Amino acid sequence: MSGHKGMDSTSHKRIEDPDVLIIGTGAAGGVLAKELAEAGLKVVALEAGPHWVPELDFVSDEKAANQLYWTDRRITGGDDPIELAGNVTGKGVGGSTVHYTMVALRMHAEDFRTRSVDGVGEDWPVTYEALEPYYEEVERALGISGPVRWPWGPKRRGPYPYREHPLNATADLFVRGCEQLGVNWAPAPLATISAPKDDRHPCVYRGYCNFGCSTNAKSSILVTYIPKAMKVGAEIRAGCMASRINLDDRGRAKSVSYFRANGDGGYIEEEQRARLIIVSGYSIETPRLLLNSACPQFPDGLANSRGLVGTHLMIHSSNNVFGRFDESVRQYKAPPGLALSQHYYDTDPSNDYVRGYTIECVGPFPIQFAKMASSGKRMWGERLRTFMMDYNHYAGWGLNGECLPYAHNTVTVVPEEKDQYGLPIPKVTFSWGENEKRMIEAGVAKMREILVAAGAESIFSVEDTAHLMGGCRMGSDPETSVVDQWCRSWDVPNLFVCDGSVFVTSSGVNPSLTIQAIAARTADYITETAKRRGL
Amino acid sequence: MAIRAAAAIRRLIEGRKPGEASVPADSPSPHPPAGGGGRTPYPEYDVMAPDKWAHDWDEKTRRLVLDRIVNVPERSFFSEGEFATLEATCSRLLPQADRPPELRIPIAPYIDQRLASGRGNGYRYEGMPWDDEAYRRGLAGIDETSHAMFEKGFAELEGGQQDEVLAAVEDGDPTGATWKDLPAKRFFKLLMQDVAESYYSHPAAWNEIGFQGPASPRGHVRLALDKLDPWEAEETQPLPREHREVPEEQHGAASGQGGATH
Repeated sequence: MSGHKGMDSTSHKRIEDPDVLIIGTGAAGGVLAKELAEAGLKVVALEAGPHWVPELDFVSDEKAANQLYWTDRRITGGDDPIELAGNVTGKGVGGSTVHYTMVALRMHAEDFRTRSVDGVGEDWPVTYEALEPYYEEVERALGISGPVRWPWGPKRRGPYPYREHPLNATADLFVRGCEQLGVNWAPAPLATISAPKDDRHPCVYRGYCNFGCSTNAKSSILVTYIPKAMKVGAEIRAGCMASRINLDDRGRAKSVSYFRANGDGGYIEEEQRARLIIVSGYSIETPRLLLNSACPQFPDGLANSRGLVGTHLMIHSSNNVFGRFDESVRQYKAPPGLALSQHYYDTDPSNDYVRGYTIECVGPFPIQFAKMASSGKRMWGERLRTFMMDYNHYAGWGLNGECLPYAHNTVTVVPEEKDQYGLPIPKVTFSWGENEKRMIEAGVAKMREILVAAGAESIFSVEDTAHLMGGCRMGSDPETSVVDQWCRSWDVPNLFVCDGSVFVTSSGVNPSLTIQAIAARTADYITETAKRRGL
Repeated sequence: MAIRAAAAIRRLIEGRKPGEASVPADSPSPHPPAGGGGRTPYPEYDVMAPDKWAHDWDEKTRRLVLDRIVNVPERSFFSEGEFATLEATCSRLLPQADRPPELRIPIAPYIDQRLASGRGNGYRYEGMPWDDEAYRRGLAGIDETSHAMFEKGFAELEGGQQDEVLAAVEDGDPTGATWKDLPAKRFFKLLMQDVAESYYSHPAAWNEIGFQGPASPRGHVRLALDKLDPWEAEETQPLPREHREVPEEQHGAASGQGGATH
């Protein structure tokens, strides 16, 4: 299935001379497009995938969700290769926010200062206080539904915009287990609305959140920022895969070359000039594009004079545990992550690791649950088929564990292997460090304890990862970072990188809200700068 | 009854091309049977029952799923021999001996279709070929191991022997030159993930496990523990205790691509 041509934004009036050209329309690109267009700038945003219309394109079907993922060719390696499709990717307007789990957490103040606080990672060039107003702005724009009382992290200056959602069975069991053990828990703040907002209905708890929300309750970028951006004149150019960023002879970014789908399976190469270019392609495609844009001034890739592009890639450990309960659970109902705990979030000197993790409820659908059981329990044949007949009695939760930044976890390009556009494909190399391994072991043990306290039997655990971050990190020193605190590249003054790749550390929270807050802050900076001295 | 069910659904879209399945306003009936060899806790459940068809299956979902179950793709990627090995493999990884052949959930045809379309999972492990080549070599490897262990091709073996071959592949060190440069564990996992995806995307499997199935536009009202909406599957005979999983302390490998849990 593909986006519907009649509704496709590419049929809107084409902007030939944009001030700003954004590559990618996910969590960062969508926010940038709206904010910059509202500030009066002429904005074009390129999107490699289709422009979805949820009412027409999103079905109630787990298998069909494959259409939402980035499935162009990639190679994964290292000691602990990351599974690269599905949970860590998105293709189409809205990026992975069309299938994310919507858990909308802020990072804690200490998360921005891990070097100072714990002697690991690096400090960010921005503080929590600097991002706080942008967190608030983004929470309002998305209509985050959250609890009245929030027990962890910096004190909130105001309430969540919408009331929390009711708990589902998995969350009920999580709460039961936590309270048995004296573990603090809270309803999860979620980017799905619990009351009407604009022209959107509240959530009907159909549970297909991770496969595309067909009722528009889910506050993805696709149905929040993008329509607002288009309303004020931004052009969303879907079906356009950026292939390289071109410089002029003064070393400034001049244009972007891209392949546009021509409608019958082929591609036309086009070039779009702009005064300012922002790369928002996320932690794999952003470094890949910069590396594939090598030129005489930057033979190792754009913005890569220090060899840092594609390094310090991070991903959360997201091991899951599941157990059987006598009660009826039905994991398929309502958003999966309705309750969570940050009880083990902060560094505890009695641990054999530093930093920490969030525990979040999960709710896999049958295909994913069968895949997890078959690998987690090494189960197939009659045994798997019979086990799955018990699906409605299982519940589980998962880790969101901090991963420290390491120079050896990388995105590189493989010149000898090409994708459908003829572009060198990316290779991701990843290995856990000792700190992550110890944290995972401790976190899985805690999650099992909570299952047992809740009354579970037949417990099993499954390794997994979620949320790519890093690859073009920000910093205050050009020697050790790719972009500054405003996401401006040190090497090319009118080239910005703004997405999850600028993360310096990973924290233990889902990254989307922070990506959006960073994008809102960058948009403010660009707007202010443009007012003062032009782009 | 079971055979008529398949025929009735087939009639609905007779003469239509894939993607053009007709979408009846009334629930197509009778429906894919739950099967489950008498073990399913949901023998009465029907994910396509008229009330559900009317309120939980929006038109685009009806179209998609009907097309999936009726227009089973023709073999186009694998050779006849490869396909026979694949079918024999699938019938051990997710056995359906309790169903008559015409009512079994097709698995191999969807794997064939995925590979023919060139649509992979989007990545390969370093040291693994792309999925299409991995399948060709892996299926040849299963046959090779089968000859080494039992002096017969895989498709000719008894079920128990086939399980022994597959267990050897799953364990990662099967006999055979193929596996010197094709990591057996990774291939087994790729295969198992595809098998699970094909099987559990079929309404008959949803009936068997009591899965709600499509849920738009109605959604759910009763979310709490042990609370059911009237349109959810009623568990009429809980899975007998002897069929339940016993506690185990096994840590598994990563889950495979299947979308985020959180």
